[in-house]
Amino acid sequence: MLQRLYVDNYKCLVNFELPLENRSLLLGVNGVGKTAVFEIVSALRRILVDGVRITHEDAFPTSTLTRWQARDLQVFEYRALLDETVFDYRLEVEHDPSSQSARILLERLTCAGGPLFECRLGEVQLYRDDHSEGPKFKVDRSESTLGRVAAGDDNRLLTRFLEFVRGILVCGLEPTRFVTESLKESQVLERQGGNFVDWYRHHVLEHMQLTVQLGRVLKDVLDGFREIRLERVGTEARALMVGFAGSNEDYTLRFDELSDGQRALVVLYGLLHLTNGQGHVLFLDEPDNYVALAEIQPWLMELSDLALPQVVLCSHHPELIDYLGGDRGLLLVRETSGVVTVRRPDTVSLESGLKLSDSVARGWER
Amino acid sequence: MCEDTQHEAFARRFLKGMGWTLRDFRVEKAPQGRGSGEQYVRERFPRELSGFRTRPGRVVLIAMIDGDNRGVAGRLQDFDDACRGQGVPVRGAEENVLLLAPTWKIETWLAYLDGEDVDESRPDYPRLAREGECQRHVEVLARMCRDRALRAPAPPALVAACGEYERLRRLS
Repeated sequence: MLQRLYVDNYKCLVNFELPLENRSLLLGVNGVGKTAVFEIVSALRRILVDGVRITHEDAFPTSTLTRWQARDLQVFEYRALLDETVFDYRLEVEHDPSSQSARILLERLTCAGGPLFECRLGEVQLYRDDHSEGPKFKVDRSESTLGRVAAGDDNRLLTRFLEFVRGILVCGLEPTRFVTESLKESQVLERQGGNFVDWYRHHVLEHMQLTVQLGRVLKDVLDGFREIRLERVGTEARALMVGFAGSNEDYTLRFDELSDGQRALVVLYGLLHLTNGQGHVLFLDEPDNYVALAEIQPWLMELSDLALPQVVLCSHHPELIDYLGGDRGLLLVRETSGVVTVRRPDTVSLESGLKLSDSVARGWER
Repeated sequence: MCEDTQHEAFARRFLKGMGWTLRDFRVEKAPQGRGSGEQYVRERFPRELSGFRTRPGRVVLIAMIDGDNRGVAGRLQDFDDACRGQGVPVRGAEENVLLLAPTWKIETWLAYLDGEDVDESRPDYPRLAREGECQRHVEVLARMCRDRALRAPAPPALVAACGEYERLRRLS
């Protein structure tokens, strides 16, 4: 579980600390940095797992420096609790605004306080699981080296951390981007969910029981739902088809023949059930988009009940605010200094009869 | 309707175990805040009861609040008083309205379902670390419910709650 994210000098986030629980809902007015949090989590995954360069547009280009500061150093930290052990990851990025270039100043991973990896000014020092020194070498400072360390018998802890980062899914679903036909399977769901069918195909091959469970749940979610399946439409191509029971006879629709809302529901429940028990951490930006009012709370209940290690949501929707905000809400607030801080939403007076969403709508939660 | 997330997790998981499905539920939970969640539910109950009566035969209304020092009888009286105070007729004998009041609080039931002999006048049974951990308690209760036999000595508020659930079975 990701316990803490620390950010300094990224867009509106300066010396920003975000504590996280197994279920968290980020709240706050527009422009306070909620989406920036999701961008950073996604960028760290891209750097560590996909190996993108630090200045890649999906990572930390110089344009992401906080504009009202003259400092050129960005800092990002994770604290993760994995198998009862605390892992701390720190990444320092040094920018040169004049050339729009950036280099890694420091990248470090520790476990229970002991070193596992350190790269300072391009000098890498590897450590074994018992924290004894391993190989030392020089590297290119424009990309993460930690993510390139090969798994071995003496670096299982480092590998465990990388597996954890690989399991982080960051999504803001955009049903109009969902592609119905898949040419190949994919282990990774794209940020907007565009390759959901590729991802579903991967699960059909690797985790069939999860797709069966998804089909069971969708019977409770979509009226008349009968089945979801892949149909061969070419040598390699498979189309996602959804079967319904009609009043006279059954019928089947291609995924792109469903409404945006129905497709969003399929993917939202897919996110819960295809990741269930797989150790994933989900970051979902505004999951309520496109979904009918009455469909939101059932999905939140399912999210509450399943054995997902961690889910972080961001939303302005009253349904999410009232269902999760009281217990799990984290309010991002921009202080008069410009710095964004995190606190629990101010509690409302219950005698007033107002819900938290009523309070938020009036700006009284701050 | 319930006063906190532990109430919701317990009641909803129990009903799921009894065959209710995801979209059968609508939860109105008291917000976290200054003051009493119990009071929030109680004062909102007449409005929900009025709404419930516009959908005859299609909806079940369940309200759950801690009994605290009022106990089940006191809480039933509180619900009736809230209705009278807002000019709403009180719950009728033939209405699918269930009123549950774990006493002193829901944790008393959790301790009982963990095998303890409990005392309803004790307010200090421990909370669960996570609300979802009540799944094991719900499963124990579901077994007892199917057998129609609570382990003796059962806390009177739970006996009353089972009576309320029987009311649902009788009326449906």
